[in-house]
Amino acid sequence: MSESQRLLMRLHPVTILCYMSAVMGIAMFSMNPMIQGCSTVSACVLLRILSERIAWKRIPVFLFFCGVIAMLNPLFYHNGMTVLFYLNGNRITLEAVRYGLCTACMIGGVFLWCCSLSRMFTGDRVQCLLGTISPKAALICSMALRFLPIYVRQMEKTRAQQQILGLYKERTLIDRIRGNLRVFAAVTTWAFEHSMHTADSMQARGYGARKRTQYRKQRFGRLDAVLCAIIAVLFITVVIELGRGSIAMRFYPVTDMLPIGVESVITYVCYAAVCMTLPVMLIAARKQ
Amino acid sequence: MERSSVKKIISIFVLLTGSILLLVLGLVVFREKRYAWISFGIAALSCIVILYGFDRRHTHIRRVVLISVMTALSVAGRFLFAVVPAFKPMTAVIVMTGMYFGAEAGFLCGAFTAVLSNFYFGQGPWTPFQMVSFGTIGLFAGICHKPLKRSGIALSFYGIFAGALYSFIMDIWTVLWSQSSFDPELYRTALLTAVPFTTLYCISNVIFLLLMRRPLGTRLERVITKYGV
Repeated sequence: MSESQRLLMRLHPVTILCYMSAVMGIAMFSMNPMIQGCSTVSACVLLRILSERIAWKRIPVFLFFCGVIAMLNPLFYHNGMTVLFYLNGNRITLEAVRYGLCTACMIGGVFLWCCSLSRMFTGDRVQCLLGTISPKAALICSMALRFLPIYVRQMEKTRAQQQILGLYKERTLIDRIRGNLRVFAAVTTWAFEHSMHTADSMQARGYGARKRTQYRKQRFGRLDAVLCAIIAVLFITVVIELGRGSIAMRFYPVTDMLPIGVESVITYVCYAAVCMTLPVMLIAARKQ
Repeated sequence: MERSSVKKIISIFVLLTGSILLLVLGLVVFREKRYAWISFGIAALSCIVILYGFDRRHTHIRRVVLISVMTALSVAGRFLFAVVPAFKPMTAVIVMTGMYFGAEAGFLCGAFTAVLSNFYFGQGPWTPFQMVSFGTIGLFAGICHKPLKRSGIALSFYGIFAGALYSFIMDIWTVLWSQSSFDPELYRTALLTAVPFTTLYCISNVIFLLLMRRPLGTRLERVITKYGV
């Protein structure tokens, strides 16, 4: 295990949730090209740190989708003053192309963030977070996840037994469907009985007698507190600046971006800083 | 007693501030994308509210386990048919859950199916919307369970309705997210391009519902009578 992975294991899920919601919350709902650029670049960087293999697999997909979305927008929207050319009598405008590019970056960037998110949010972390909102929901999720492999195994067993009984089901489509349905029905009956045993044994061991507690691997340490505080301060700054409209954009009829001033630079820098907190920490841990 | 009432007050407070914050942020901060922001927030908040309500009430453990069994079955269904696009037994299982175990169980089964299966098929900003749409399908099935249990025709109609509902809700999100406001024309286009998928959803729902109606229904009824869930 590398140093950066070890650091990631030490971080509390709440910290990672803070980081992800701050970054994605702004990236999903702002159309500013600078913000989108920051988000996309840092999403690539983070994914590359987390897993090189997945990064090389996902980034081409991302580029492809971006291209498609960016092309679709000017085909549907003909607003805008600067006409590039005419296609079937419809205007293709520069503004629509720009808007399409921004949207593409937004959707693609969030797609990449979600790839990192699912890398970082392993089962135990989800359990930890969900357990604080609703312990019963966390229980349902963890039981369902446990039941899945059990059912798959049981289905294979049932299928084998059916074959031994002589109920082959390869002849026609109808035959195959009926065979699969038979297996499914048998497994559901078994699953219900099995689950009732589980429930009864949980009851016998005192489920519901007291509040359900959880085992938590991670502790909310000093590092988490510092990180959360930094992220919160930067995030609130960006949100306030967004609220004041210092990086507001208008695409139609003419792309209109406010001139770069102190406020907009502060916003961009803050957002870039939020995005880079986790990647920088992981890289620093690797260098040590 | 004291503690639970404090908890209740805190939860109401959190919910109120959460929804006010949602609106204010939407109106002031995310002006360019306010519709997408607010709809996303409402989807996420409504799931949290239902989860929280479910958690506060006492539920028999057998019921809890059965909901997780149904969730596991529907997730397994998505896996089994992963190779065939849009042809999934998930909705059928969720509808059956709603029909036999009640509206709340249907909603929970739908919402958890969306979350859990997306761990393998990709989480994203669409997850809350999938949770809401699958949850709603289960919820409505629970509300009108009487005709659905009685006749196969009503069930087939519900399957078609469920497939269409899923498409309608998900396309609202597509439109809101890619444009700054709700554009009816783009929505129409999105719905039209999704027609093959919607048809497949409807067909697969009807097929699976009719196929599972007897085998799964009798088993569910049996569990209910035998164990008194």
